[in-house]
Amino acid sequence: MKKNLFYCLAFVASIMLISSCTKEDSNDEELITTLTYKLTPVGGGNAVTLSFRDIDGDGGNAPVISASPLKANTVYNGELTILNESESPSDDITAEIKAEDKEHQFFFESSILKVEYTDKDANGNPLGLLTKVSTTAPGTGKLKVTLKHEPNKTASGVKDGKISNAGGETDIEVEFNITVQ
Amino acid sequence: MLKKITILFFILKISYLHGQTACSITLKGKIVDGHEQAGLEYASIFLPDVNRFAYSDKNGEWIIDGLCPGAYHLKIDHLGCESKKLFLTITKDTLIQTKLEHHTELLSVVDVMDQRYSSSVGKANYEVTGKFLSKSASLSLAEVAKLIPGVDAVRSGSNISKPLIHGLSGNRVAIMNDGIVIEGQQWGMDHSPEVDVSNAGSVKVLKGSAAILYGSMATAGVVISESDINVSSDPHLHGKFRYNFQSNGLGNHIALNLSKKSGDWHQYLGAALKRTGDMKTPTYYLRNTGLSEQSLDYIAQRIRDKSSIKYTFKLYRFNAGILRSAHIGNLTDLKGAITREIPFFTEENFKYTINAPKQAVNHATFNVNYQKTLSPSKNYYLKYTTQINNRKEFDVRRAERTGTPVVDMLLTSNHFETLYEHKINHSLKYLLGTALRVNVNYNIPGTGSLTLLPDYRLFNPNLFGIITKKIKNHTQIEGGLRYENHQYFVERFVNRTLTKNSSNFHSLNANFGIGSRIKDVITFKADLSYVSRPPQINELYSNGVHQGLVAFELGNVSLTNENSLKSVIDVGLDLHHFGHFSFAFFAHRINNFIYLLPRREPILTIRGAFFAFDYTNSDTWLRGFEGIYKVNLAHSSELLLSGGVTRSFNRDTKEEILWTPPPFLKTQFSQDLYISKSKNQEINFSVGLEHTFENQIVSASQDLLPPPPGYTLVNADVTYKQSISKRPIQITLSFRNLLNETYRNYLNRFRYFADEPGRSIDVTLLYNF
Repeated sequence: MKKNLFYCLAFVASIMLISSCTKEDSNDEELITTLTYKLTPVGGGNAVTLSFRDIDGDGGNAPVISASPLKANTVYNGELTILNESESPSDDITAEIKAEDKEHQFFFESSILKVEYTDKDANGNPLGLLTKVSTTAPGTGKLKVTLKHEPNKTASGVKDGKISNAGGETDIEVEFNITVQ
Repeated sequence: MLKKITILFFILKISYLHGQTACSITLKGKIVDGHEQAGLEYASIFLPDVNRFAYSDKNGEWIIDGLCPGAYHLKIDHLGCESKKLFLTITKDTLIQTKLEHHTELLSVVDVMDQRYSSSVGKANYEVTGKFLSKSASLSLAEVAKLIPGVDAVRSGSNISKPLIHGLSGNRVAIMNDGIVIEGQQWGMDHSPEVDVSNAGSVKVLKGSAAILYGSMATAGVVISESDINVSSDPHLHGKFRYNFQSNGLGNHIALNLSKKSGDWHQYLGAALKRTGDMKTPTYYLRNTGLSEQSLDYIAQRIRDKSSIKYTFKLYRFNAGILRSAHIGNLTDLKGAITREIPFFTEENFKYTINAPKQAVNHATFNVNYQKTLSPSKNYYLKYTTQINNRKEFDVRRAERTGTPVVDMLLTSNHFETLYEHKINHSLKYLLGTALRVNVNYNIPGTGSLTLLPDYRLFNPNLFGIITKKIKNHTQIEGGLRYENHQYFVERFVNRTLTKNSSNFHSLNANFGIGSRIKDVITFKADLSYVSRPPQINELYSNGVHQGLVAFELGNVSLTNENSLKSVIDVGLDLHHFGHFSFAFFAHRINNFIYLLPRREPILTIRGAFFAFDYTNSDTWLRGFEGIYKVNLAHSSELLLSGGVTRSFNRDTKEEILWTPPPFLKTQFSQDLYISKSKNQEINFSVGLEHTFENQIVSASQDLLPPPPGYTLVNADVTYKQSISKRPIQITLSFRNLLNETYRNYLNRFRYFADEPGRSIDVTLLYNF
């Protein structure tokens, strides 16, 4: 009787061992690989592109960061595009952000550029996919673009782009070296 | 077998006096103090079936006469002692000798001559007793074990904690629950063990490597939790019901356990439900720190003279919110968070809701334990355990994916063990064992994120032996050897292509222990263990950002075994009226200690910068000591002092190991008082003061923030207990952090973000039937 019981258990266990071999999944990854900031001069002219691409995701190969020079004393219309290029065709994350505009806000911190919001979320607070970027005198500096998820948009200064009171967590944070000629 | 021990423990002798006729039977008894061996006065003996009671006189003797033949329940109580219950069938005049242990919440187990195989001869063996557990219902396993000096709890917020023995946890501390080693994702610092102590009768800790019996995962020690199972011969339904309310977090906690004997079978059912909401620091609510926990245990055990069999079924569910302000995106967020006085996402109002980020863990266990006595000197044991563990972790995500877990792992574990025990003569015995453990980890698809840990299979055969020799009557020595083989078969993605790897590790562990008791005054225990622990799956293959850590952890496939030599010396001094003193010293030297080494340069990703950590080997030591002094100031009051220091040192980087517990000092005073002697109504007051020092030897460059300053906490409780009643009830009012101190705990990973919870007033109701 007891022997039978243990044979049974041994059988159950061996079934579990055999049946538990793993099948690999092709996980659809919720990844952001690419941020492109396209700056089109308001008065016409060639657009300038700033881009950050990390096709293999976190770790592995280092990201590729590029920024074309901007013209002095110029106003640009800025438009951000966020993609997941690890998929084919690539995923448009911009649309996801637009769909959840109340829970997102981009922040722009720069020593050389002035960036203003030109779009609004459903509550009338800034989102930052569309912006106005102005340059003054020639020089070099940095531009940091940050996407916050679930920021507190009503905290002091956050509507005007002050990131320090925003809270939330960072979904994107990239920094460009900017040259104004 | 168990039955014998339990009964031996508190009935010394039952002898039948001369035969008598119906309804004139005399029941006589003597109660002795288990400690002093002297008669115990004013103990009450209650027979609820006939509503009769008696008190012991100054020699500890009592008498109840005029009883009819029959079966009686007997309940023996004494001020400050745990109730003892007996069930007797009386046909003639009977004399009962009982031993009542007048001890406290924390017990140093000094029994050198262990009855059962346990490999604990030389190990410092401490127990948190039912007395403590019965009045503090809503603590986690680690919080209970923390009562024992040398044991700490490493935490991730207020809901998640795991035991730390002598500065080590995770892959180096085994957790046993009702004889089963818990198999979960125990590697993670934020993964609490899948054990509910709501219905636990005791929590024990063996300090000193227990790797011979439990494998290399017990390098630093083992934490043992046992359910409150009653295996007496009583055929009636008995059990405990406990309700606990805690004011901080507005928590409600219900625990019920039932035991019944029918025929040969002892059955046990335990169930517990716990629900708490947001905890509050003295000034703000910690948003999203609610917890929901459920457990259900069923144990059926048949005990016969020549064999016994035990079936155990356990279900455990854990759903815990993670402090919202600790969920951060990258290093910039972290810097923002740690410089704030009051964290982001704190609110004025209380909430029960548990939102992402959160963890949901389901754990199911099935175990069969069979014991057969071949001859009076030979036993064999067969054990089979299967465990299924599903861990889901949820983050705040875009595009309504918050409801999709980022981690969803299914771990299936099967464990076979055979043991053969042979007592060659009364002083020499040996134990031989084989064990096979097969674990399969599977990442359930659909998480939409890279897997932190790969899919793998672990094949782990083991062979071990322990030999125990008694020298004279008071000394016992023990030696053990264990061979282990770990084979990992791993399937993972490297740069988005499926790669198969396998790793194979052999290890040999050895142990020597000595335990001695000299003239009932000194107990001496020493244990020396060599453990060769193979690297675990996370140390070899983890790849990714761990929840809330802002740390990119990279496994290292070239790691080799971690070889450690741990020695623990434990000395107990029983000075009778002058108290009990126990002192333990440990030294743990580890070559190839596996730990996370921070990289100088953070990893740059589109989400910003992350700390990067590589698993690496280095040579390390840990040393420390802890002591307990316990004294009865008067017969019914007790003073307990304890303290401990643990130091660690990485011999390569010349720095302390992170998360080494800071030194502490504790004192507790308790006083038992009778309200009414005739009804045996008593009140117990206890007040405790604990001071944790600042961890001063972690250098500033090692951590994000310097260790928090030292702090002193005051805890107090009042318990009312009524013994002579058919409905014995115990009510406890307790105050945790009575002075509402604002502090941060070095061993809490969320100390970067928020303060610890403030004052909580708890009410615990215990109904023992």
